[in-house]
Amino acid sequence: MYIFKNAWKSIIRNKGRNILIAIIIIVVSTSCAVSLAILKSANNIVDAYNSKNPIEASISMNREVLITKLREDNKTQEEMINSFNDIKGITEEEIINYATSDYIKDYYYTYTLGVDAKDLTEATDSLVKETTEVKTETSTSSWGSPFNGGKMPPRGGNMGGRTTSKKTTTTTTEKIFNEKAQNGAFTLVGYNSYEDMKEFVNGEYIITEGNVSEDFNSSSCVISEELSTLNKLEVGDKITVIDTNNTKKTYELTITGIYKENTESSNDMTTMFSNSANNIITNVNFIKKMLDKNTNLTENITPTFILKDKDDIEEFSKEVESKGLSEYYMVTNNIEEIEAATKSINNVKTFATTFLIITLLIGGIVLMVINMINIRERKYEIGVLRTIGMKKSKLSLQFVFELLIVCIVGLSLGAVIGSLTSVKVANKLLESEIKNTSEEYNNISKNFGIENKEPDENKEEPEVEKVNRYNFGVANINEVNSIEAVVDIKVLLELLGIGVFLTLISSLVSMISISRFSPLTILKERS
Amino acid sequence: MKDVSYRYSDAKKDEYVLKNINYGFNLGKLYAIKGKSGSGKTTLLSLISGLEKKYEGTILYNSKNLKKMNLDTYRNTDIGIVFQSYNLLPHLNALENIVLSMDISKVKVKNKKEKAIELMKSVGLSENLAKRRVLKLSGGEQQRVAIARSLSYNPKIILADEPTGNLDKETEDEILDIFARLAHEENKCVIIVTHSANVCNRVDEIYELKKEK
Repeated sequence: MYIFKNAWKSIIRNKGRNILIAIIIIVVSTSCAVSLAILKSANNIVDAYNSKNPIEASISMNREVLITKLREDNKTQEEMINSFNDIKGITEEEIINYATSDYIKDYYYTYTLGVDAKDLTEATDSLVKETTEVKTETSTSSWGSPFNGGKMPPRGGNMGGRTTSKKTTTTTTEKIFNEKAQNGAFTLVGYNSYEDMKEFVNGEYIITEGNVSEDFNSSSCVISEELSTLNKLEVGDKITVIDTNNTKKTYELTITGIYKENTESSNDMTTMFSNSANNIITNVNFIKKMLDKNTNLTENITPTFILKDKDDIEEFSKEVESKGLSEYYMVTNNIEEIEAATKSINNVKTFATTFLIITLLIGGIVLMVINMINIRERKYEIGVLRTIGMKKSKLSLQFVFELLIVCIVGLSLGAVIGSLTSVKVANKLLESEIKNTSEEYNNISKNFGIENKEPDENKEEPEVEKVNRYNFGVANINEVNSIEAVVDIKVLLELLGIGVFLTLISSLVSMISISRFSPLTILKERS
Repeated sequence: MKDVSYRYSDAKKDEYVLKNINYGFNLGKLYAIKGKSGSGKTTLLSLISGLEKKYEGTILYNSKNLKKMNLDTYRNTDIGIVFQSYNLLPHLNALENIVLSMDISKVKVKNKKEKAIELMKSVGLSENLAKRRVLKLSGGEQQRVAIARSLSYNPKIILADEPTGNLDKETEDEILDIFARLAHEENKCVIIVTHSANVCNRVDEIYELKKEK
């Protein structure tokens, strides 16, 4: 106790020296607080982005392996196509099996199925074919690519039917296109939940009328604006889809919403209709019901696995391969995409970290030098205290206490100044992100069409609130928006840690000096 | 002290400051160690006080070898040191200097401040000087505070290095009175390093150090 008391007296009665140390600590801690706040904000932004865009893995056709195989076997084009069509698609069981991996946090999948529809005109610019006499044809394919054999829909775009405008001049190619068209003019796309509907979440599809039904067991659907206009369909109307293998088998769907494909997303300038024009968006359960009644129908399942960590991707790929994934398929991921998007904010993080390290380094060195001068000035005091029997350890402790007290005062002031400054700095950084996030959240709500509805006072739960239950994979805006959290308890603890670190580092000088000083020599020098 | 010899670490092998010293000191007596400058008086004092450890021979305190003792504890329990230049802590007042010494020695005293004032009075200092910064005290007053500090934990030995070197004759006599009282009335062993004839006249025994020719 007397050590602390003596340390306190020493601080109080040597104000000049301690004020100088405190000023240095204030400067260092202010810089540290700003750096830590920037780091925290940057981390928040990166976390928000990562929570919006989790590390996803999917399973895609490994075309490179496929083409190499076909070339090796020296097959004709027709044989190639037949071989390709023989490749089995990924089943739901396989997906569930892969999803049991420890590396997977969550997963979802979409079903797509080619169907025909009763009294429904497909959105296609095939009229071009009829009016053009040359051997040029544009036709509709269920999957949009002549090489996927109806097994896998293309990644990243729409999930099903696609009006392709590729004009071909060879008869063979024309034949292939025609074969694809036999699968059905319309594509049923089935989802399990709002969160799975990435096209809506990303704003690729936007509801213009009605909404996407919250009931993922219902026989409801949303259709494109094009399909709605062509067939004069409105929300509440019913459409009948027909089994492509058996025209007697029909299934009824109620239209709950009409969507349009975002023009920025569908930039195919050569087609009259958007890629998703013939997509009938429903739920997985509806498609499953159809499949239960007809084993001849071939569905396509596109899985998306949400990984726990980006470092797990390789291990997950190996695990999936060991679980029997065909060599014609491969695990793809979005890591590059995510890293590219967070590159600039990571640069800010690097800058803040470098600034923090330099500040600490310079601060530490300056404190050590000042402490060294301080110790030389206080040599006499050390000599006297050692002469009257104060142990080296206790003397060192007194010096540590003194510096620690000054450090804590300096840190507290630095934290206050830092928090005031850092809020402004962090605000600048956060401002744009908050704006983007808010807009994104609102846009997604709009995409589902639910925001358009006026809250019904008679209902216990307004529709808008219903939608707010879903975060659509977008991070909570309030977390990003929380300026108060910039210099929070975590940052304060980090600052305290820095203070203790600086104290101990600069106290090392005192400790070494105290252990080396001979009290007799000091007192002799003094005399 | 048995065959105690000392030389500086950077000195030549046979260049001793002290050689084969065989002195004994008893409680209740006032001793003087005299000699010319450079004869090793202060060095001898630092050996006895445990401030210097690298010496040849043996120093025994109560039959215990000093080399085997905890010298910090020895210094803050058994030895009180008084210097010519007082060596008080300038940022503390007279009272605090004495109380700090008690704190360091861990002496069991009910009220340290009261005890400190009592000690100040015993060395002729008035209570109103207690809270005065030591630098604002006269040389004599500072030396009295230093003596009071050395007595604060009731040591058996008082070592004084030229305690009256900076004082006038009158004050010197007063200080010597205090040392004599401590030795004769309080049964302490007081060893004074000096080259003052006045001091030598007042002590019970004198040891003289002479430089080797």
